[in-house]
Parts: sequence; C-alpha cells; structure tokens
Amino acid sequence: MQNIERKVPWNVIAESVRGSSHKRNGLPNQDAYLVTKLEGADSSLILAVSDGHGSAFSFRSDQGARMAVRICSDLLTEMVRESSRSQNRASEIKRAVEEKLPKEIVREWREKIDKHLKAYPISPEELDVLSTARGDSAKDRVSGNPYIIYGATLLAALITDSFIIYIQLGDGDILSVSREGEIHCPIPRDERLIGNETTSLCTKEAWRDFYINFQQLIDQPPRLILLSTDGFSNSFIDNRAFQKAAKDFVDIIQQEGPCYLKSNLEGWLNENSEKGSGDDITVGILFQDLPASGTIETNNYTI
Amino acid sequence: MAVRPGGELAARPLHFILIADCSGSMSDNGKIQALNNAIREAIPHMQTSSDDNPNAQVFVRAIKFSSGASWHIEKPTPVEDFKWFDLQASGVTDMGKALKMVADELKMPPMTDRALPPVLVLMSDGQPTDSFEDGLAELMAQGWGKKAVRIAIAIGDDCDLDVLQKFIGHNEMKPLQANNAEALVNYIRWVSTAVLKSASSPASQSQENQVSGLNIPIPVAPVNNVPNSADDVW
Repeated sequence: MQNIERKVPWNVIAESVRGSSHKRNGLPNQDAYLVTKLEGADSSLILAVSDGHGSAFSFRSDQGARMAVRICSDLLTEMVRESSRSQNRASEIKRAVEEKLPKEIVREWREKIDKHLKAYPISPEELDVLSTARGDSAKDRVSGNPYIIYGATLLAALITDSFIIYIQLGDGDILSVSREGEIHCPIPRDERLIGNETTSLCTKEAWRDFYINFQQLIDQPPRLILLSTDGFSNSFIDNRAFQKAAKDFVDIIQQEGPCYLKSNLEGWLNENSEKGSGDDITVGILFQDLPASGTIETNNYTI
Repeated sequence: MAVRPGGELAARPLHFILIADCSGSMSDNGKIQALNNAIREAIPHMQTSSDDNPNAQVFVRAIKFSSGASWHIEKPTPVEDFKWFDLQASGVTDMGKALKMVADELKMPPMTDRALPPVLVLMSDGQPTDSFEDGLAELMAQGWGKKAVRIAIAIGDDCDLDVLQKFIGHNEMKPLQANNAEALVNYIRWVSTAVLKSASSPASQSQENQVSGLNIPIPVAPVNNVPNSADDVW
C-alpha cells in the first residue's frame, strides 16, 4: 500500500506576483522560480524559489534570483542523474547535497555574476540611483562586494519516490502538510532573520548559512509541500494564519481540484500583497493524490 | 468569488517609540513645553506620512524618564488614533531605566518576527543619573533592539552627546542638536515623517550589508537655521 502511494507522481503549481509596494515604487518583481521535472523511473521533481533583495544596493537582484534558481536546479539535476545507477542512490545524493551543493551553488552563482558584470558593467545611471538612495558611501560598498547588486535568497525542494531534500538559504518558508493534516517546518526559521535582514548568496562564505534537510520516505510522504518567499508569510497577521494557507491549499486541491487552485492563485497572491506585506510573493505548491477529474500538466517552467 | 487560502491579512507592524526626558532641567526655558508642542505639531504629518504606505501599520508609544521611568502612552496606539498628552518635568534623569523598559517591550513576544524595524527616538537635555550602560546593554541584547532605528535628539547645550552617540550605536549618524524650539519642531517632524516613511518600506537586504541601527536608509536631517535672537537659544 505504501509503495503504491509513493509511486503517485508529484505535481506542482507555482505563481509569482509583483508586490504592491514594488508597483508603487516602480520596482520589478525580484522573485524567481523554476520547476524542473526529471524524466525517469521515479519522476523526480525540483522546485527552486528565490527572492532578490529589495534594498537599493541590490538593483540587479531580479537577475540574481533568476540565476540562483537555474543554478540550483541544474546542479540538483546533475546530482540526480549521476547517482541514477547507484545502489545507494539516496545516501549518495544526500552526501553530495550536504557536502558539495552549497559551495557549488555559491561558486557558480558568483561566476555567472562575474560574466554578467563583464558583459553589462555597472552604469553611471545605476550608481546615481544608488547614491541618491543610500549616499555616496554606498558606491564604495558595492565596489567592495559587487555580488550585493545581485543579492538573493534560495529555497528548493528535490522530490523523488524515496526521499525529499529541502534546501534553504535566507528568509522565506518551507512547510509540509502530513496525511493527518499536521503542519511541519522541515527547516525551522532562522531566529537571526528579522527586520528585513537575511542571509544571502551575496555574503562572504554564504555556503555556511545553507540549511539542508534530507527526509527518507519510509512512511507516507507529505500530502503537500509549500515553498514561499517571505512576502507571503509576512502578509498574514500571524504564523497561524500563514500556516492555515497550507492546509487550505490541501482542501482546495481535494475539493475543487488543482485547476481551480492554479487559476485563482495569482489573484489571491495579489490580494495578499496589497492587504499585507506589499512585497513580491512567490508560492510553489507540490502535491500528490490528484482527484480523478482535474489533472494538470506539469512541465518545466520558470519566471 | 473564490475564498482566499489562509487566515487574516494585515499590514506589517511598525512600532514608533518616543523616549522623553522629563527631568527637572527640562522645565528650564520652556523646554518641556516646547517638546510637548513639537510632538503635537508632528502628529498630523506623521499620520499623512503613514497613509502613504498601506503595507505598514504604525503604532506609537511614549515612555518618560525622570526619577524612575514609566510609560506615558503604554498601549501601542495606531497612528491614526494617536493623541498627545502633555509631559511635566521634575526629578532626575533615569535614562537607563527607560531603556530597560523599552527592551522589555522589544522581546519576542510581545514583538513578532514579521514586524518592521522599530523606530526609537531618544530626547534628552542632560546626563543620565542611573546606569545608562546597563539599560543600553539590555536594549541591545534584544534582536529588535539591535535592528531598531535609533535616533537621538539633544535638547539644549548641556546634553551628554557621548551618551546619545552610544544609543545611536554607529558613527554614520550623529545626535541631532536642537538648541531652540523651532529646531526641536523640525527634528521631531523629520523623524515622524521622513524616517518613518523609510522604516515602513519593506526592502530586504543581506545581513552583511548593514551596521546595527542602519538597516534602513536614514534620510538627510533638516538643517536648522540660526534663531531669531539670543533669547530663543536654550
């Protein structure tokens, strides 16, 4: 019975909206996400989400976020493929993710930025905007660490039929809902991250701030996994109101079907931003057990 | 209409706390009344500024210190309902006690991790008579104490600027020197509008990219003109 359940393929619905404060201030949506469905026997799925910093220092963070989700997804894909013939596949991937992935992500992200900066050097206009917002000393700070310009967080989940790996750097939330409807936080909130400050890909030795949780699917897998940028949880009055959203997503999928959720999600997230945090919001929902009527197509996609 | 998932939505709370010196010397040359007038004058500007950002809910409180310290306005009051009641001056300058009481309010709970950085405005005309260092240490031991935007206004020439600089906690901003009633009005209006507006904009940034108390961009403070006559100077 358990084996049959674990063979049910995972599906994903993801959406990202520009924050209401970003609309007021003429800023772009600085979040990004990427869904990668791996072909193969176990239908592995990767969801990566990134939140580019809204600070004036990070004026290319939308691009930094897009780089982050691409690099993370590609590296995880490579690790899955490399271990595909191994007899100890789960432990091999676990070791690779824990020992190599954070450093590899940071290294590749920085390499990509170096190339981008070479192709598109910081313009005088960008520096003028920065110094107007944060004073002339801000230019020195940026030239001392140009990665700040692209600063972004990273959340990811790799799901196979036998294990799940959760990855997090910086703010944002990962929740799972059990078959019994209980909420779990695979990666607990980092108590240091208050007041709009976050650990980030742009900080020195950023790999040290990654949190990774490997979860073997010995028993029943979660009914739903939610990855969201902090604009989502910050839009609710408290944590309980936020966690209720994850439970409600389960109910909506079961009662109304995933197509209903997919078609309404953007409107809901816009309401969250307008009446709540004002921030960009990205939500990725991974789930199993689709009702017979209402299958959605999960392809690789991104923003 | 599809029912939105999740519980109640709310703008993020921004706590604005006035920390006012009510020692006996504040009664000299009408300083305490000038402070009362300046705060009262700033309220409508503060309310207008707050309206510009519907994603932040500003709550205002005030604590007073003289011989001991106590909350003058204890309940976090939505800025739209905020009213000012005159302070009276007498006693000594127990600033450390006031900072300890603020520190208690910045613990989690009652604070939550979804709040915006609080704005603390310390206004004093003298030197602490209790253990300022202990009070400051308690404040800075709180996560929200460290992340708070800390602004200090020196009222008159006799204020201990070193103490106010320690409260600010970094050298990129100096205490604001208010030597007359007009300057005090300008500074309190500035902190109630420009600083408040900056603090209410949710812009995330890397931890490495800021110093304590400077995690929001502080706008340039107003330059105060020379008073009309020597009688106007404290």
